Amino acid sequence: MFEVTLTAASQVVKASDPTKLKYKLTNIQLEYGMMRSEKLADEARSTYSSGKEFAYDHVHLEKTIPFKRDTDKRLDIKVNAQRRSMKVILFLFMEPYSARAWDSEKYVFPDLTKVRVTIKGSPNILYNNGIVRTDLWAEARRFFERKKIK
Amino acid sequence: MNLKLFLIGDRFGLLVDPRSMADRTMHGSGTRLVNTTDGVQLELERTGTSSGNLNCQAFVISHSQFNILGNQLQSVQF
Repeated sequence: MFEVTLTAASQVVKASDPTKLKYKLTNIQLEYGMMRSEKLADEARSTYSSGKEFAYDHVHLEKTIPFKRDTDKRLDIKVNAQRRSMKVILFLFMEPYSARAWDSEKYVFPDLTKVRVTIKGSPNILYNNGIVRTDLWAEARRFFERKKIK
Repeated sequence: MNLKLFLIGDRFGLLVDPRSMADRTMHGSGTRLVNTTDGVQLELERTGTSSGNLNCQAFVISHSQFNILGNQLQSVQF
């Protein structure tokens, strides 16, 4: 069984009378591949019945923290998701949602000056007092330099 | 999931990488947060500029696994 949740029409289409909006999705298809070799099919069947694991990345919106741009100069955020292997915490800063003027690809830089991370009560060994603007190049350079410049 | 660098438009993301080993490509190389109440604590300091409100969305991305047994979904672990 598949469950698909669609967003309200007012978030998708624009018109002068927002109470009469509609949209429909057509041609939704399920893609699948087919095995034509009996041997391979038997192999797959036995794998799926005897146990098969798939590894993937699970993405979850943990929380949304609203703040004021001019007065909130410090944000304390606690993330305590119970995970066996937390890979990344990603923060995106967006202007409050208004259906009529919303740029889904606009992620604002909130004028950060310092980021301090404490994991399970232990502070970061390199940046105990937090990472500030002048530390960023050392961390970010690996994305910009293809090779080491000698 | 791979990191990609986008340098166009209004796109900023703050990414905290709590890997527990040098190789971040390995499945399960992240931080284990099980039976802990401390979790991850973040302090962000900023200068107050411009006006209006912003929403900070915190996404948690974790290595997960789903298991199939007897042709059926048996469990999802993350």
